[in-house]
Amino acid sequence: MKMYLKLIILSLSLTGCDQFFPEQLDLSRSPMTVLLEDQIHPRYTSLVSEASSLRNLASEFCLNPDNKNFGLLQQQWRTTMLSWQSAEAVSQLMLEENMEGWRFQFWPDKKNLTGRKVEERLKSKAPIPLLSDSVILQGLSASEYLLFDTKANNALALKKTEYCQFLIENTEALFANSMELQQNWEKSGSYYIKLMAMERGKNALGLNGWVLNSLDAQTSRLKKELALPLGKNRTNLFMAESWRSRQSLENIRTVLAAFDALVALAIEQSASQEQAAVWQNIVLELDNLSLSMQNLPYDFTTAIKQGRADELRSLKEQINSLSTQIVRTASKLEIPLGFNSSDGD
Amino acid sequence: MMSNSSLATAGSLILTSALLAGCDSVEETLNTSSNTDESPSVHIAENSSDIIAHYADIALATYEDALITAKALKVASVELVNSPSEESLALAKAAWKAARVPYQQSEVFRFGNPVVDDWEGQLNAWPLDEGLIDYVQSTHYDYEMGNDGALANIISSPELTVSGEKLDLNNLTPQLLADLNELGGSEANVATGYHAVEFLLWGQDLNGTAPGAGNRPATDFSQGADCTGGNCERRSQYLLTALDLLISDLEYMTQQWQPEIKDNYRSDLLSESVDQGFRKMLFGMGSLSLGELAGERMKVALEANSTEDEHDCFSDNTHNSHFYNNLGIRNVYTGQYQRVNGDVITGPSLARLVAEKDEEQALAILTDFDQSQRALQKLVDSAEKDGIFFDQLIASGDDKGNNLVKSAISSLVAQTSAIEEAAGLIGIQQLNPDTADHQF
Repeated sequence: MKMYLKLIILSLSLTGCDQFFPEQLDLSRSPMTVLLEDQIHPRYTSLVSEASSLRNLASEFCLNPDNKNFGLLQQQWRTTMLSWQSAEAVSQLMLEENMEGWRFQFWPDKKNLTGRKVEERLKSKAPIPLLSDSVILQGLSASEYLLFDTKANNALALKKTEYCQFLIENTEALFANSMELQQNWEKSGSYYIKLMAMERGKNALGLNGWVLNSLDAQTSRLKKELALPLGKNRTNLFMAESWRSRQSLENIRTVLAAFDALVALAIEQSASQEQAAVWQNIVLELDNLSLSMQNLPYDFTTAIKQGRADELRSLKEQINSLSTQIVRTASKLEIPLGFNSSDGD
Repeated sequence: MMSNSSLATAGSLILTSALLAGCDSVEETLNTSSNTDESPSVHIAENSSDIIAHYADIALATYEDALITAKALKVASVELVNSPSEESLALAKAAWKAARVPYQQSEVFRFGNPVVDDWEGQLNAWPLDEGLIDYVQSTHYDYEMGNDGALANIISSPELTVSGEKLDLNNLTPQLLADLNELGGSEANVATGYHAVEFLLWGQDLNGTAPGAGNRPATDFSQGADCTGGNCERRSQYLLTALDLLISDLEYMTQQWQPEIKDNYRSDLLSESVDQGFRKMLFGMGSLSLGELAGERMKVALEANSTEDEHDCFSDNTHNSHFYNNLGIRNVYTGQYQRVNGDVITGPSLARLVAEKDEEQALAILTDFDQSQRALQKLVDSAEKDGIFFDQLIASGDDKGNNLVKSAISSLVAQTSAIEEAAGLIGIQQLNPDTADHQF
């Protein structure tokens, strides 16, 4: 993807050919339709598929709790989390209003609310239906606790039925919630209807507006993901995203890949060579980030153990730099950047 | 524009005012022709820079009120320390609640103005791991993972070793307490400010989502054999020292907004472009409305059913803190502020400027402000009239309570969209102010 973006920018500067983009465009589809069909829908299809696999593996494990099944289950959890990261990155603007993301991932969780709430529910003699209970219990953070936390791991290994029962309930809730979001993006779904109404209104975002606001909102989150575990005077690895499963940096990689895809789409759909060239600085920032991420491990803990805190700090600076370019690009394209839920943290 | 009489019914600034407060109607706010002789004079933005100067005037008045009420809290606390009784403790608690009224309205100035954002952590950081400060009941105490100072108990410890660093805590001074903030690199280590004082007055709230706030006995401040909880003298010293720091911090901030002082923050702000000034105003309003109030302070607590994430978790004063946060947003938009002595400040406002651009849209925007105020008023009514407080409303399975909080959140989300719309009408496309390297 990075090479592809570079080629687009390069071809702009070398050819100066106004026909470059129209040749690649499917003119029968509007830019927002392309966004929906090529970026949002496939990611939600993938999320539903991964959540379904997770649910099935959880059931299999609970029927036959051996180490092999447990390993597969852990691996499937990782894949499902990455799938969520990717879907969230391209659709955060719509998820943000009701903070739907928390149904999938509760972070930051400074005081281990996830672990405490799971344990509280396991002790409850008559728990309420999971989909009516706290969102913390419905998402990937709760299953991460079950699958990767030592205490819960041991309980699962000891075949404690209440842990397995909750694992099944949790993965079923995750599947149901994934299906719901996927349906919201279908033609009769609430997100689709809202998006189309917005696009017809006077405050239409347009594709550029969607991409820049998505990047802006997610970049605010990335800043936090890097700032919290790095701390002011010390590192606190409990503050890293997905610290139990140890894939915090892989999550960030996935989000950045989604950024690449969104920016590539915006460039492809640009009305003119000049408008496409406006994205160049963002492409360069993403390129730098990609290079920096290349050799980093999957997670913060390993990176810190390898003595690479400075690289993580540098990554944080690069995210700040990307954020600046997003603001400048929005300004050049006269795209308003709205408030997002990370403002004010 | 509101008259004095309508403002009187809109709420006095003592704590119970939220019970009586109604929303100033859209028409009252925008109408410039219905003033009586008694009403404050009406200012229309002849010059956009006047709006920013008036914003600074409101900031100054709000911080001055925060200072006045903090000094009153110190007086009440000295009385508590000198004559500990349930009565003197109740008076100190009432003074704390009164002090929160202007301070919470000031928080709208935090986002967008680096001078405030860099300073405010020492006054209002939360949530805190209160075991840093004083005794806690460990079975009801959940602290930040990896926080080495979570059980430090400064009040009982003349010295302390955290993360390999040995600290001499014998002499509790404002500077020492300030230095203990973020001890060992953890943001949950909050040794100063309103919430530290709140914990010292109320103690831990051991009730979870059931009724009841913290219930520290007044004897925790008694001397000699009557002392409960141990270290009463040092606890008293801590309380008064924390208040000294709070007062000096507020004195500093009032200086930053004074018109008579050269080279302060106000002079910097007024020397910037009008667009940048508007951007700071709008960013402050939107960030407090959405990310901070709707998100961090309400949605997290609600979705997690977490009293640990309740803003005023020791005193159960959260409903008022939220109400006055939102009132602060309205103050900035409408250019109106009612001081603790009842005086009303009015002047050129964004609301008027927006109305000059599009009267109809301005009405719709103010309607969103009215709705958020009504929604937050319901949280106040629930607590003050029905005795059902914010930490009860967020309980798991309490659909009615949860919905009340959800409605307030939704109204703040709508209000944020209205702020974005107002920005668009006055030509502010980019809402994030350029504040050098400062990250809000």
